[in-house]
Amino acid sequence: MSEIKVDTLTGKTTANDITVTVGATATQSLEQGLAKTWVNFNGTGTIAADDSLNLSSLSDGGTGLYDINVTSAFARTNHCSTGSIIGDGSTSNRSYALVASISSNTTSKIDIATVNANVTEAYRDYANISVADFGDLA
Amino acid sequence: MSTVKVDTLVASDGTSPVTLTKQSAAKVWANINQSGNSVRGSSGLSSMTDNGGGDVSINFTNAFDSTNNYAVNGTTGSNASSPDSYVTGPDGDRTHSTTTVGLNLMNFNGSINDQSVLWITAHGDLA
Repeated sequence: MSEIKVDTLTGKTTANDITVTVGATATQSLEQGLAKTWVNFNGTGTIAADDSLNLSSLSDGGTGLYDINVTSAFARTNHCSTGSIIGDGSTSNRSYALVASISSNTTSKIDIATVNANVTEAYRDYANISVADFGDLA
Repeated sequence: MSTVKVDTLVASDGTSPVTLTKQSAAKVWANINQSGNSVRGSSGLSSMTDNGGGDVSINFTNAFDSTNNYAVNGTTGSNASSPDSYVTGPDGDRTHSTTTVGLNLMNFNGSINDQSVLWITAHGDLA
């Protein structure tokens, strides 16, 4: 096994385009596969990030409503977020959902909501919310 | 600080996958308008099959090495001002293979409906 130790990898032809072998024959763009933003944050009270990548700030839009603002902007608004919630253990039915709302997404903001998916279908704050976002940066 | 400028990275044997220290690249991501049956942006997505009413199959460009050796994460929603839906799957009524997974966009009332937003990622080893 050989190993390259390097601090920075840059595409030779195009700065943000490095092709890596990811299967027996499959290749893909390294840049496409890397999460550009991720954050684990406490969405209760004064919301705060526990740890993150490419996060400039978090905005509290009200109960269960959050904006994740990024330091380096995406190239387009079509970036892709997925995430999960750890429940607080006290809510009936214990079914929690991270909901996307693309209507107010921008190149520098990810708009999400956290919901208690029980019969009340209510927005709810949770203490442990994780989100990762993929797409091209500007 | 050192910088390597390179167009292609491959393992030293010339064929094997490259190991990224303490990193793992997503093999698929997609931002889908499921109700409009269109893809806003993606990587590693070959196509999406609309099976009707919030029942969708996601088809990958490159096959994973095992049906049970990859993870799909999904987030869905709409432009509505109220909370509405979440992603469930794999859908047992749909093909689940190294190149395809079926997902349902489930409303909180238990119905399956199209949604304007479906964000998915898939992680695992490719074949």
